[in-house]
Amino acid sequence: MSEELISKKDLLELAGISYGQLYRWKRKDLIPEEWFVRKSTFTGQETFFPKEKVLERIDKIQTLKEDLSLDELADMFSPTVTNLNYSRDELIKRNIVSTSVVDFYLEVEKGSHQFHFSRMLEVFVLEKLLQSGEINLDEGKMVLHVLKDNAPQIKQKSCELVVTRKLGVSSCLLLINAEAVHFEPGTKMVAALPLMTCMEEIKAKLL
Amino acid sequence: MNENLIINGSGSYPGGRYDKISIRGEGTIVNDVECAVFHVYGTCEAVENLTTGSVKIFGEAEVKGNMEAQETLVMGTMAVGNHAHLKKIKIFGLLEVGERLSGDVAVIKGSISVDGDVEYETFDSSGGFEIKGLLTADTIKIGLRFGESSAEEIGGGKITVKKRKNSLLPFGKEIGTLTAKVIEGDEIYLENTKAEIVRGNMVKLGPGCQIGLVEYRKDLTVDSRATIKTKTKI
Repeated sequence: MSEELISKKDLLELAGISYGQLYRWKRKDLIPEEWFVRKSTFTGQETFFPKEKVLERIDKIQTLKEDLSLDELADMFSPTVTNLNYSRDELIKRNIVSTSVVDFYLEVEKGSHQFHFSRMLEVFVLEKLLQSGEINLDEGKMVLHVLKDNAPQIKQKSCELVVTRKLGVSSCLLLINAEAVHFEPGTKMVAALPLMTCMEEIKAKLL
Repeated sequence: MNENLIINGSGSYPGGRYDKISIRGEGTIVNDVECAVFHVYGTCEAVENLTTGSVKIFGEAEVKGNMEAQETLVMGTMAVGNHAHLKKIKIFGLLEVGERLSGDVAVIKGSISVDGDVEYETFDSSGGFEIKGLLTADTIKIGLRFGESSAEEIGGGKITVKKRKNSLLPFGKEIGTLTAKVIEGDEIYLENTKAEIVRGNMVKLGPGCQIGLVEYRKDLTVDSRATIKTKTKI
């Protein structure tokens, strides 16, 4: 993955923040450890960041920190799942899922009408993919299966869900901390969904 | 209400939940353990993880897994194999941590040795430390009394490093030193410090500093007994 990097001092300048703030956010895990890229330059060691991601994150922190405490913000950005529990009706009300998708989900997995975070994520992913028309109901079942089987991984790591199709046969994979994927020609990548972003979107809707 | 676990003599016990654990002889706790109070006057080994409210170690304690505590006082020796989240620590003896050490307030009068990062809101040391990763806190106050303290990187808001008179050991004229690759902060004052790079807004270098490169934004003051190879204003 080649992304544009920004050095720490340029970042401080550009975002108008101090070393103290940056380190405080790092300590609170508002900026993930993986984004701190240490490199040797001709002047000595320097830390770099993926420019786009870090600027977007700092922007979010600065706009939200008026209303939320740093700990609440950390909860929002953290990949580890928070203790949330919502009912089917509440999810619909909060615009996380539509009635038809949530009913399809419940019909397939036959679970309760109370949703904890992993199930919320599953139904949210399904909603995104089905509503955009990228996958059909059968593929939805397959996606669900993959998500269910790998639930513990999804909570911990940065995962991406990929749906492919070749000659009408579809397949679904979960990439964990992957840098890139390559398919044989003729395979069509129907959808790719970073689950981390999905989690943030859900949390943003809930908070 | 949970039970107490009192070991006088020697023994091996299962983990679980206790109210108070007090070990005067030699005790081993073989599984995860949770308790409100954890006191060790002898030797103790927790084979897995320890979660507790208040810890006092007068003897020797080892936690092989992770440890979490509200208040920690170490007069003897304590070692944590993995990650230690210790909200308030006061170390008069020795604390060793295999991975990350984090919390709110750290007061070090003895010494700590950490293989990972150290993250606190306030870090105040007048003892010694060896940190293989990053030392970060909002306020970092380091008093150099003896020996060589080191960290790979130091970063935070306000960083103050001063040498202190050795009042405890009258013999020898040894003064403490600090070594780090990179020191970054908003307000930095250093004495007796060796660093490759120092970056900050307001940087003051006192006697005994040997710095490779200083990058400062607002202001730089250098004592005549400090040496700098290169300095740049950004």
